[in-house]
Amino acid sequence: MKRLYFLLFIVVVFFVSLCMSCQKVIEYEGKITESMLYVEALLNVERDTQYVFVGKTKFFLDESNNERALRDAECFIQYKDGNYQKLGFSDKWDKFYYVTPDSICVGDTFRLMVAHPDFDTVRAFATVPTLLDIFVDTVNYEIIDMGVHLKESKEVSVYIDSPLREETPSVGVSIHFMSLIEFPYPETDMWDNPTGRTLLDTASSSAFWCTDPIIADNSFEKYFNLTGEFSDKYKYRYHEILFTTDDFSSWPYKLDVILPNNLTAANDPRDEAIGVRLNIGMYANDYYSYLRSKYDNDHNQNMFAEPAQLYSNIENGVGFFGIKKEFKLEFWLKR
Amino acid sequence: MKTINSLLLLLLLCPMFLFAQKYTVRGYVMDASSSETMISATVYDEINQRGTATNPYGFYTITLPKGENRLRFSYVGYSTRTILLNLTSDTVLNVKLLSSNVLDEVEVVSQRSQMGVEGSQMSAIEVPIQFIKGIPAIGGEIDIVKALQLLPGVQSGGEGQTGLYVRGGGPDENLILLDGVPLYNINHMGGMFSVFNADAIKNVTLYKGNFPSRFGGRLSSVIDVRQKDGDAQNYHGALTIGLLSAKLNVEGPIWKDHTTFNVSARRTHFDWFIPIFYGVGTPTVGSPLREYMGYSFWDVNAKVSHKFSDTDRLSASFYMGDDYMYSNVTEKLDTYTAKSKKNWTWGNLVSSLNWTHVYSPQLFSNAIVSYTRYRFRLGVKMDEKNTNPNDYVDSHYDMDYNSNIEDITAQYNFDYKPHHAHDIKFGAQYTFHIFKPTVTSIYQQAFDTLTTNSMDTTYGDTPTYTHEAALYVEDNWDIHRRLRMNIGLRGSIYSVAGKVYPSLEPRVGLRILLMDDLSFKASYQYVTQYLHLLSSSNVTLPIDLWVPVTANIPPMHSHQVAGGFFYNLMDLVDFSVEGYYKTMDNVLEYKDGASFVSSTTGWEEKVNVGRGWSYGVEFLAQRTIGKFTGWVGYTWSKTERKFDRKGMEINKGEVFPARYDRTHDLSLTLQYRPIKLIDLSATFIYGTGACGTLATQIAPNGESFITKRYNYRMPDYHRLDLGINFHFDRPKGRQGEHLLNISVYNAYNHQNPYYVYVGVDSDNSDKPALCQVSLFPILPSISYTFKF
Repeated sequence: MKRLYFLLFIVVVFFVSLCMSCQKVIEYEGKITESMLYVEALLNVERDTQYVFVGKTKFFLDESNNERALRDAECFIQYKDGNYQKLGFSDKWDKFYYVTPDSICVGDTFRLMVAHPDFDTVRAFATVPTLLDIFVDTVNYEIIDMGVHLKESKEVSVYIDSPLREETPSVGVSIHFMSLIEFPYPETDMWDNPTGRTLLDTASSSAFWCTDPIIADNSFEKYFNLTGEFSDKYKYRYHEILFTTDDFSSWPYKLDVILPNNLTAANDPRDEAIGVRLNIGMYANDYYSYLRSKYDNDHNQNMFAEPAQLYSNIENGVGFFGIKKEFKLEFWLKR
Repeated sequence: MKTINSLLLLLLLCPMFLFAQKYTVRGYVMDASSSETMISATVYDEINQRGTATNPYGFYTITLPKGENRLRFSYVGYSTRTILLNLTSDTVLNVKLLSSNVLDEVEVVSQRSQMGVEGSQMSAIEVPIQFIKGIPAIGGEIDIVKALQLLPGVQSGGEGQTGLYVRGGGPDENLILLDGVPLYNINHMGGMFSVFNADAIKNVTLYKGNFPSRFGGRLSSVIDVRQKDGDAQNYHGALTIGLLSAKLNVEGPIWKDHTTFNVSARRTHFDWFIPIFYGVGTPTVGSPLREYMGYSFWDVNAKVSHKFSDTDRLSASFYMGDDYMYSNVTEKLDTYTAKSKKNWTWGNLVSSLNWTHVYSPQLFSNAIVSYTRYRFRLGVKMDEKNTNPNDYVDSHYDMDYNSNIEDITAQYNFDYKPHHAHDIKFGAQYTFHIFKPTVTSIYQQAFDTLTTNSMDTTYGDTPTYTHEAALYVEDNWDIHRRLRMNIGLRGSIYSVAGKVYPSLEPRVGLRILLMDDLSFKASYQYVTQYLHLLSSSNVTLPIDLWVPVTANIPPMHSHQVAGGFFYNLMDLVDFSVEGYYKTMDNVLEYKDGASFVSSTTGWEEKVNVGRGWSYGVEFLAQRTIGKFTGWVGYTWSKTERKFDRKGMEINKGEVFPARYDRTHDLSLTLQYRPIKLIDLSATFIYGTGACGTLATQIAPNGESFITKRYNYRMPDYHRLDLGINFHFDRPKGRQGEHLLNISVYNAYNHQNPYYVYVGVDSDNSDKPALCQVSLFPILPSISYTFKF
């Protein structure tokens, strides 16, 4: 009898132990990585003022707050072969600011240098990317107020092509929608013309959505101002796709924006249902690498995905310094 | 004149007489009670001090001078037998050896194996199956691969995993053969156990380097597993019931001394009890959720062998096994019902036909045709229905994911011994590979108040058909009593999608006998591998994909040099210390952020090609005879990778450690049989922690990020396993034997890391902290075996 109890005891302990995994907090015994200068700046040559964020990273077990910028850093930008210009600090934006030079051309170089007493001086450089050819495939439009307005169309196709196959930049297409009424998300597909495959479904495509589609009731002034007014009556949706120019084959890419059939706009005074702005941005390829590494880092929460190392082009530091050039296309999709 | 002519004639004919005065003795070495052939049994000519060993079919051939000779036959765990011969012609001599288990008093002399002091083979170990059966194991489930992981130079993938990492190579760089047929996945239960049923296995040999030329296609190791033929004299078997599984082995003669069979089957039984411990089908009061989960595995080994004559034998082998896991969830509310069913199935099928023929006393051949298949399947069905008019939905989703690899192989191998100093092997091999990495079929239909969606599509990789062929020749050459060389050359060719990859692979091994008990060995090999296993860097899974090289992804190559000393202490203990350096080119790693979970097409775009290297020193001391047996193995090693080709950078093109780089690895395994009825065993393992990647820096926007791949070492791994076997004989008049095994896995309950992540310390105001998950605490177990 005792032997039987002993054997039963072993069986019970075995199954109980097997069903229990053990979890505990452990000491970190690895190398403690020092904090680094963190720089993030994406210069938009269309804007009058540029902003550079300078902060610091912290070790993951460090509980201190590192969200604020390092105001006591010294930040300089050199345009082409000119002098290094020291940047002022904006308390409103918690960033260093820089006034954009006039007549910036493709191929012009900007150099960044940041110094701080607690860190090694960091440096980076960026070059104004090549422009892409962008055209709209419709005859029913007119140019009004620097935007393309369609007179009668439920859909529009935009072609994006690269004149120089060997040296073309990454492309980001941000798509903004606004309307006075609730609307379902219009179909937007980028096609690998002429094969007919959508960009995101193509196995060799590097494309990915930089942001998840946003549905918001308030409009964002810095992204959208189609009517020239800032209004919170408009409904708003936005997302951005980014891809490298490795995806350019023999033909340009085509972006289709199509209005759903069941949309009504009874309260729309302009008798136009949905406003659309396309911001087609041209970036140096390392901007794609930077955003892609952040995207992979955010999205690979499953244990089967490979770790994604953050891309950085900051020498002695971490972060990103780059330049973009944008082309804007604005139109209305009609009922 | 006539005298001179006669003398001249005599001189001319003298060599002929000399050659003509040698005869060949050939035959099989077998177990006396079962007639099971013995692999690598030693056959030693005591007068001329030359030896040979039986081949994988138990066959030997040795050339001896005419007249009186003395041959000594020995094998681990068996009594040595010396036979006096008076040779007057070529002779067939089949020898049977008595097991030490049978004898009351055993005078067992350690054999000088081919892998010991005297053999030219280095970087290889033959592990006696009886010894493997004595090693303590999880749930009492004896595991061959777990035993191999205890050898120096061999590491496991981690806690509970059976992936093998040999001298810095990945799990896909091991050629695992079952009766000469490759196996692609050797894991049951996610790696807790291997597919090898120890009851069906006769012999296991591991080559970590210096591969004989007959083996090719993998960079890091060859594991040659041979199944038993079956007892040619009597019927018997064994039934084992453990806490996780039950297994049955039956063997015996179909036609005595001619035809034998051996069948082993194994299946889990704990899956019948899982609902009691988890997710019982009956919901708790008020809960709308019902969950069922289950897991099981089974496998069958079968072999039939027929002896036509002393020159011809035919055998048919078969293995099949599957793992099956399922999860069913049902939720039912007022108007809403949701059901989901998921099931995973993966497993191997191996079948082969093997014919051995002795053409002449010097020439032995074996021809094999075989088929092997590994497949993984995932099925998902989901149904959702809400009859509320305001929230109406009716959807059905059905997905089926399949992944396959199949091989059809033919090979013809020869053993040729034209002279006592040359043991030549040559042959040809051909394999037709069929790869179906991923095929996914989705059928979906959904209706709601606004939209109607339907989809019926199949996508994935198209099957890839490839051809692989090889010719090889090798010679074990006794240049001098103290100098032996093994020289080989393997020529292989691989054809895929119009692209042809040829490869010439030289293999050289050298043994210098410094003293009778001490030798120095050195080797060089160049090998090519035409397949890759795509797996996550975090964990090895059955969903890992086998893919061929392509026009864009070239074959992997490896150079390996090794050298070491081998010493035998008074025929009791074998010592060896061996150093190696190995390079690996065109190794693959997934790109940053890539995940094979969502992989549908274009796996080539998800991987980068780079190179790696590994070097280290291995020490082994083993004793295989006597009451006290076991070994101590220690390895110091370093394994690194570098991916710096343009557009294929990982870790910014800088050197990083391989995932399975472990600086120190120590294994101690002991078995002691104080009396006939009890044997005790203990295993202690210590190893440097595995590499992992942690996001150790946090940006000002709160995002954590990784600065370097494999920037972290998990805590060191160590554990102690203990086991005891009680042997009981049946009462007089009844046959059979009982065996009760009690074992404890992780006897001092050390929490070894399974994985590590950044979490919070809930006991310390939720501060950020490093958290470790362990898999197996202390696990006692019992198993009962009845041998009949």
